[in-house]
Amino acid sequence: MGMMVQDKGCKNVLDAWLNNSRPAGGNSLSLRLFTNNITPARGDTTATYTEAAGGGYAAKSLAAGSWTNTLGVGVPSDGSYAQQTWTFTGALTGNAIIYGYHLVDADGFIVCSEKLAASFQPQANGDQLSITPKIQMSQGTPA
Amino acid sequence: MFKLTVVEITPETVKFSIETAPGQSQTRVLGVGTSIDLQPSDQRLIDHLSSKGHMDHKTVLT
Repeated sequence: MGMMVQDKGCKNVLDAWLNNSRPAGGNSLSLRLFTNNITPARGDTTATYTEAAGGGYAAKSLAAGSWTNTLGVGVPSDGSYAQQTWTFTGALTGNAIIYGYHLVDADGFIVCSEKLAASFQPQANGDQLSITPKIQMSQGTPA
Repeated sequence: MFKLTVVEITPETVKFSIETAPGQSQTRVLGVGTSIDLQPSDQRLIDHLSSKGHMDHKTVLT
């Protein structure tokens, strides 16, 4: 399943590109894991997602300016960030299962999300989940 | 298809990594006498460790 860019994420791109307008909280993004078994949709909000808790989990900050953007010729261009790894100390609160991850802007609005190819349930100290954030952009059919 | 890599085997634990998709991987640590709920992707780990005498098919380290 590919990345779903939510409506607010699209607006953020236009705001930054066309008006040099950024979230008041800054330019970094927060990478978070969600534990409700949903399929990301474009109209989702941050509240749609239940963020993981417990087990040593903490959201990760992705610094603006640290992405590597690659021009795609005949294929989608993309921006990628260094691999992010969560090392858990044990089970999440409620023995929750991680179903995916989402990016939230500095004002708390969701930008994009993706469901993992395989869900992950931390169980033991030292269990790890690694994700390499990557956002692709290409031509599409205007609505 | 998942790519599974055994990262480390010690007398007490086995650590293995599963590449579940491009840019996504999971690493698990199992200790002696512990067990986990397995997904279909773990079958190759069971086969691998069984062949080396580290695990029986009840998924408990021996």
